[in-house]
Amino acid sequence: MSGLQSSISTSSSLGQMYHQTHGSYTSPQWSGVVSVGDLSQWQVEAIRKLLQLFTLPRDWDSYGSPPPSEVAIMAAVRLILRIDLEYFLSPLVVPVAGGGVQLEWRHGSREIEIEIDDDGSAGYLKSQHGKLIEEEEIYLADPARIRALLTWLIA
Amino acid sequence: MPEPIDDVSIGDDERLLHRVRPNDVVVDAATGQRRPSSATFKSKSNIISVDLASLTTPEKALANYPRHMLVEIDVGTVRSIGCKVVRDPLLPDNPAHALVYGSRPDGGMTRSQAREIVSHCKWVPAGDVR
Repeated sequence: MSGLQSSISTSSSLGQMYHQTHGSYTSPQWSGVVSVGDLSQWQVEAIRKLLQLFTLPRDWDSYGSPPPSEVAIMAAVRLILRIDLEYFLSPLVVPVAGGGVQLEWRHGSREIEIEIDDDGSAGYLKSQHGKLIEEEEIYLADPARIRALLTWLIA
Repeated sequence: MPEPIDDVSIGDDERLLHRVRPNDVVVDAATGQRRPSSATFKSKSNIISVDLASLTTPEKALANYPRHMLVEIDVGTVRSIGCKVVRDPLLPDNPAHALVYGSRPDGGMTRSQAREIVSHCKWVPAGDVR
């Protein structure tokens, strides 16, 4: 982990860094580069976790699911890249059966889950004290909406 | 897809077992306790698989997946949030296998149903948080 952190501070691309620190990484699905030059630490950490999803095998959930799709993972990466909050919480990154990805943030009693399907479509759930507040579909390329959603978490 | 029919031969007190990856555990904001992520009970293309506890054991449920953990939830709770439970034995290996349908048109759970279920799950000792 310390090697990973030092790589992040010196590497210009998370994709390259990922290859350097994970010698066994041979995903046939993705070999791109994500520039991390201007990113906050929480974003770098989130993207690192997302790229690790490429290493999940089929049946990762023990119920026969395919791994998260490239479309879903990269939609999540783009979402993280669009968030212009310098100091924020790195989300928990969880695969969803059927090829999706879920990002989860929690702060105090507030929680937000953003679920991205294998086709890149997305929805979110907002809860407080364990009670549902809102559940809707969301367009990930709408930075104002995403910002409003996430700043609710820390308001 | 045809409307699934809730199997009334499965009692409300039956417990449903579901495997969870250790990486997919979160700390609940309301209780401070560790629980599965709601993603564990979501699926784009699959209905959620479970085992009927009365027809198996935690050890059998984890037999081929020693790194996974196990949670349980009772059928009455699952039904109370609008889900249906249907037997789906996988013979000869797993006669306890069943499916949980949510209220989405494709049979999957809504986000709130998945979230509700994980908030009621209990860890099963054989697959307890390690």
